[in-house]
Amino acid sequence: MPPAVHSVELNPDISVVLDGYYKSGHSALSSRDEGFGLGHTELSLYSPVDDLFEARLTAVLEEHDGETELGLEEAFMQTTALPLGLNIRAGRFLSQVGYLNSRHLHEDDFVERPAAYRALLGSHYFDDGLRVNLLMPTPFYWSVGAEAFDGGQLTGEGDDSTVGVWTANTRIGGDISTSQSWQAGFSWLRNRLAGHDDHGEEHDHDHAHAHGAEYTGKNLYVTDLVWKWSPGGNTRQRLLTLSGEYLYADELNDHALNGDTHEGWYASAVYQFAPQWSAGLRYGEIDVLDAHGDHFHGQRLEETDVMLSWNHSHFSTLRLQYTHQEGHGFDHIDNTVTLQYVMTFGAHGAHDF
Amino acid sequence: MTFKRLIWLPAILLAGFALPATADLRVFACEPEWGAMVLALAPEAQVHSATTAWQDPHYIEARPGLIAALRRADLAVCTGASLEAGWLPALIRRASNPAVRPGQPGLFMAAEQVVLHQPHDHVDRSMGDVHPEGDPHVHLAPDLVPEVMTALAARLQTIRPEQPATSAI
Repeated sequence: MPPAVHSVELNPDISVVLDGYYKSGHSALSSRDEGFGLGHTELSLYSPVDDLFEARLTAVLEEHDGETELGLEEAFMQTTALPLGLNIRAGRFLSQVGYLNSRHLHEDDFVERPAAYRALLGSHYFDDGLRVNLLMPTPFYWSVGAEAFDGGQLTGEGDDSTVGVWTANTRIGGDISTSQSWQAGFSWLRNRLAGHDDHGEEHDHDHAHAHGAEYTGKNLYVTDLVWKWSPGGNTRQRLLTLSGEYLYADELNDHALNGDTHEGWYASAVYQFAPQWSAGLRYGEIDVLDAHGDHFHGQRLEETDVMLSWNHSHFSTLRLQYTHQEGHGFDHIDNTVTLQYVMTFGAHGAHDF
Repeated sequence: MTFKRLIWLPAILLAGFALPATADLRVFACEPEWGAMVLALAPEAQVHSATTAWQDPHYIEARPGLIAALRRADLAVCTGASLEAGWLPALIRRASNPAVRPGQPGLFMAAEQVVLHQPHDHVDRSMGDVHPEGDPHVHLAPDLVPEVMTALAARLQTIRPEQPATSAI
């Protein structure tokens, strides 16, 4: 007797992510306000379109200053059956630069992206464009990819140019043993629009929530490294994840000299010590320059996060996090405690490495 | 015929029928049981088992090493019935290998070859990790394993017609 639930197979996978929190205070470069609040409320639809294409739509509801904004974070089609390891994606999607950027926010181990991402990539950079990826037929993992984007989502302004942002990315990885695996990546993002908007004080307010990166340069380089260890490969039982990224931007604008750059990095250790429990420690720094006409003001932020999370199932997470901030040049540098839940219902897509 | 000879008979038969044609057959097995079954039918195939018997196949990471292995596979042999739902779809998406896409002969799901035990008419998340298609532990069902093996032999013949794989059964 065939099971009756198969009748839903022609419907797309629908998933809803709810993210709510209570935060003890304001903190620097944060999109989460003090008190009770909601993070990304996400509705995602995914389906194979036919035997050659698949498509995804992700809409995000966000609350900013009492107004609910509906954003389109992903609306893309992707090829599934091209030969030679080729893969083409078109539409709006998350750029594959860096390790974290292409992941959905709710997959993260900490409440917010590292400060380097919040400053240099607007937390997560998505845009309208085209991606071509090539997976090499090597015994180890090796992918090479390029993306072309409109660029408007990164600089927070419309532009007449046809392609505002180019990215190139390569990633290698493999298994060291049954228990250990690794991945390393290098990305270059060429932002032709960088420096056009000099972040004047008035201007900033207009685009406060336009998702653009606050600190941009004509070139952004990202290096990332991930190492995972799980005894016997049983990731359900115990899993240690060490990851780190370094971001570097130069050619900030027409007034920038050779030494004027943005820089940021983080290192994170997350240990899932029991099937339902994880503890994590993350430290990150940014040294960025705020453009004021023909000169810059240096800003620095050091951030330490300590978190404990309880994942009752694949679909529910409760997280307690303490964030310690130090630095200068930013508003609201402070220590905060955040209690967060992330609930997923409906289909739950497989997570990437 | 002595008992000892009987034991070796299948192996001798297999050796006799295993043609070099399978030496270039790359097989990605989601679980080692299916890898062993492929080797019984096509001893010279290059089998990469994604998991070991010591791992829980529900919880596997879509690691770069597995993506690379699936990228180069001619055939993927998995259990199906949502057992690998947490990682196989991500692997297939990332591997960019049209030969092992759903609907292609290169993706062999054991659970789709048989009528599973204990299917459910109704499933929701509050019931815990229940597979709606039925019990996915096909490799532990004595009545189903021969059916899967027959289907796998036929599939191997579809992919490598020059290899008379069914001779082992």
